[in-house]
Amino acid sequence: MNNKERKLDELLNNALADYSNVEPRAGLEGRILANLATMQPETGSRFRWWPAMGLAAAAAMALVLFLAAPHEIRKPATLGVKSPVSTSPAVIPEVATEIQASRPHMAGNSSRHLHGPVRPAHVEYLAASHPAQLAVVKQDVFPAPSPLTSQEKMLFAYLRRTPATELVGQTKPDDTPDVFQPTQNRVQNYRPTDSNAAR
Amino acid sequence: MCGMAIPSEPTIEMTVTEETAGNVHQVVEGMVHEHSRLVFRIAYSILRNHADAEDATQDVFIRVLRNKEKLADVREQKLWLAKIAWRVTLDWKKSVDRRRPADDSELILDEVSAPSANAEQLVAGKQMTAFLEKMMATLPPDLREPLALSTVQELNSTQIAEVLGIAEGSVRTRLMRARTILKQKMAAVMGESNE
Repeated sequence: MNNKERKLDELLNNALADYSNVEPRAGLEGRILANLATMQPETGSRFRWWPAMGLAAAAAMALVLFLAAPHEIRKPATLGVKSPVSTSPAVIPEVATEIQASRPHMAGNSSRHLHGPVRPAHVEYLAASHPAQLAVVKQDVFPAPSPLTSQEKMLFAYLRRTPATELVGQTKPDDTPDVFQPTQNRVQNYRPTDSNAAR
Repeated sequence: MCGMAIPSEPTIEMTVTEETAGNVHQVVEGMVHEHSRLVFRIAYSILRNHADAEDATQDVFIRVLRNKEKLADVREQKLWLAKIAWRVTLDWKKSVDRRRPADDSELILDEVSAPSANAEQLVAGKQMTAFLEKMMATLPPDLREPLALSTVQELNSTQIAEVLGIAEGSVRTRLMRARTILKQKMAAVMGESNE
């Protein structure tokens, strides 16, 4: 190896030693860590909103189902229950009159309950002018009345043989018990009345 | 030339056990403190630009965090990081070259061998490094890549072979060939400048 080649080797070694002997700018570690720290919430936020989105989707689905449901389903269940007074095929007129007379404070409402629900004006007009057609219309809306059940028959038989005054007496509410009186005393002081005896 | 790849000082490798896997962020933070300089130098050896090398370094640790489930299987963090850094750097090099097309090697040599540059000026610091950069750019990739990695002080020839996925003997052979070519080119340039 001559002198020139040795010099070339030395030059090349020095140059290669400095080739990648560089220091990063100050704060590189801090910048990397800050960048990584911003990445952590991003990866977490991918799943953070899933429960809220699930709840929102469920609420939206429930709302859509509610709006798409038929109108009858949305009515409260109590509205669908027919009142026994209105469904009864007949009410004895004299009994109804006496009941109404015994409750003067309910005079305004009692007629509605006794004669069934108030019919709209067009139904009243149809009933007056074309009773046969109204029957057909009502039959379309409501099915034909079924025959009386055994309980209803027994009720009618009881109403027929019971005097009207007795029925009126039975409609009155029982005396409200004194809440401060011990139950045991009330049991001991119990005296059967006529109405109780009739039962 | 193997002397260029100075073996790094033995460092205590942090083994990722099941206990530490639970706190991945702390493990990655430790890797940043311990190996960010190595990653930066690997990136700089190819990209030759501070800003690009820093961006590539950030990208390396982002990829580490994204593949955090593999941390538990890592035995040698330094080598694992060096491999990732090498792949990321090559990707960055491609994108950088697309944005800034590489200079023609003939033009580079013409510029280097200009009459204004004499040997004494070339020896001096940055000019010599710039000269070497331009000379290395004329090397074929299979010679240039081992030579660039050998300039990273933290890597020895065994680790270079691991990173490149070739045998250690091949690394030594390629380094010898690269040095021979570089010396010939330097001799040619210095001979012209001394004339």
